[in-house]
Amino acid sequence: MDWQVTKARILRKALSVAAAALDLAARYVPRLARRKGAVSAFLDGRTVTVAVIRRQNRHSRAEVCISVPLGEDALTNPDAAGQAIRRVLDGVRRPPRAFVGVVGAELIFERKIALPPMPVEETDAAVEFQADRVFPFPASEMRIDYAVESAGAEGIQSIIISGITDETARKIEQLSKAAGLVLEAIVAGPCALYAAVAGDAAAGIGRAVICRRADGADIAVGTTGTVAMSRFVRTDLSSDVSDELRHTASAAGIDPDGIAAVYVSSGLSVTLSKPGAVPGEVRGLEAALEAATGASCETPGAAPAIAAGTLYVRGAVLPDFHAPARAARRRKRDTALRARLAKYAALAAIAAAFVALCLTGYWVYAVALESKAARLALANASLKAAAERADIARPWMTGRTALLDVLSGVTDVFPGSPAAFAKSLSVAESGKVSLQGKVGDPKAAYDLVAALSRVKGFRNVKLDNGAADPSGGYNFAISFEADYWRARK
Amino acid sequence: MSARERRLAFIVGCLIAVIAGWKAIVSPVLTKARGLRERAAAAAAAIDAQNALAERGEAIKARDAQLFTAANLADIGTVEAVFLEFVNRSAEGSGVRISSERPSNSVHPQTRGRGGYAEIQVALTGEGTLDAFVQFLQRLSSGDKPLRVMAASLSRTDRAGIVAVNMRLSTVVVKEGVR
Repeated sequence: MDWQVTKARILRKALSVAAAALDLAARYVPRLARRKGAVSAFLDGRTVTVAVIRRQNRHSRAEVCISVPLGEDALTNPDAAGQAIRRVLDGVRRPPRAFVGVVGAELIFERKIALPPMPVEETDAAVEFQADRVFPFPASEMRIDYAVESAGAEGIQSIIISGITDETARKIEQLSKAAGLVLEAIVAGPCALYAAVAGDAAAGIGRAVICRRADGADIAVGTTGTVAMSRFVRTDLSSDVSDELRHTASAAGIDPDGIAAVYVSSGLSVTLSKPGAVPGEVRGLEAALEAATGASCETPGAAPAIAAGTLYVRGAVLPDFHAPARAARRRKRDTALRARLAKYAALAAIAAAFVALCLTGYWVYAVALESKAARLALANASLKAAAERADIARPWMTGRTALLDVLSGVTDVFPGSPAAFAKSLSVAESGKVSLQGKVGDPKAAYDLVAALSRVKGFRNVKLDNGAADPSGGYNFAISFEADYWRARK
Repeated sequence: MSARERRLAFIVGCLIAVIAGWKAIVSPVLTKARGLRERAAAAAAAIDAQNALAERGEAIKARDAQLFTAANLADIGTVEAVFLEFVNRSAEGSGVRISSERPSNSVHPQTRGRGGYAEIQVALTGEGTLDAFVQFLQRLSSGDKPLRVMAASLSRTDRAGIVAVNMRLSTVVVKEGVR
């Protein structure tokens, strides 16, 4: 067979695999990302590459993609790998909880078998039987799926069987728990899938690995998270990094169209893919990248990957193209924030000073008033004592003429006839006045009562007693109350 | 935490901050200002009262000079003698003959104001014409000393134009103070 023809077939087949993988990923990964996004981790030996995929305006976007070197194989110590993922996610704002684990080729078992024509219902059992035979683990301890590649001569079916062990699935679940994530899918790596088909370049394959969780629920999807990611970040090519990479590719004489970059801000691990590229282009781009950025490009599974026309560069430490602009933006934001804070602080300080000044002024004013009042009180101390004494003596000063006033009131209205005279007049301490005397007749006595009632200051005037005197005339006893007397109290 | 929850938390935080700021800063300042305002108002009122007192100063002093005073209210014999002498002189001058004069320091010293006072009462019996008695009262009331008639009784006697008089007079002695 001509090698060039073989190569072309392999390339076509690889493209169809990629298309199938992309279709599959397009069905599932966006479904995860549509909700809250998903965390994807590619477990490849001693490196775990973490990507955060988010849904944004109907597009999925890889927000973060960081490769973290581990001291040992990721699945040897799932807890450590999970904590490494957790540390990466700690730097991510609101990381999603859904987790998609992407496993490398070394963890996937792929075999091709041939089966005679049979009903579809019997194929499952036949595949499981064959899996027991071709895989080093019993089928009951694996999670297996298969795809019918083609029907050959005489109806013989060529079937690809893929699977991972339960142990691998369990470790990935353990890893996701250690990372505080919820495992949603396990995805087979692209090179593994490619390796499965590479044995027969002419054979077609349209299925990827679908693993089933122990409880029977579907948890795994597709072929490769990385390819899926590279698809979903194509809209991100306008970013600085993508521009830079495209520029680098152009400078290296490589057509930049079709290059997809999974780029992420921190860590700057970049994965490039260019489906359909010829090996020369890929190697050229790799060399150009290394020359332009000083990055150490590492291409796992290089031969098949490159043959498939896809370049994966992981662990490349590229310059942070965004860093200067980001730092400038941060400085500008910090400066503006500081200025705003300083302005608010100054305003607050001015307000506080104003309030303090007002309070102090008021306090000084009050103290000055109190001081003046105290001085006046001291100066008027003798006056105050004199006023108190005068106040004590007021009843004695105002009541001196009370008795004269009573006498004057009585004498003013007393009848002037010779037959009328007063026998006695007494004023009790209570102010009650008793008048006894004699008038010519009772009418004169009543007239006297009436007259006394009209005197200002006399109240309740009444004739207590009245009797005709045997010797002539009319004896009377009148009592009333004198306001003068009461007032003197 | 969703955006809505964050917004809610922010609003609640702002409310708490406003309430805490009001309690911690604004309220104490207002209380302080209110206290100062009350102090200033009280001081201004005290100043007005002192000024009013000063305006009446001469009248108060003149009235104060008329009062009987004693350094020790428990020992007011001198003041009592002066008061009796004033009553006797008034009676003599008006033609009232006093037959009995009985001082009665029955009212004990009492505390009032910053000093205190004691009351002196005198019960007197006498006789004279009504005109003389009126003149006697006029003399008593025209004097500058504090005096009041607590009770009085006038009655005709057998002698023409002569009335018998029973009176109880009172005066006040205040404690000597700063003049």
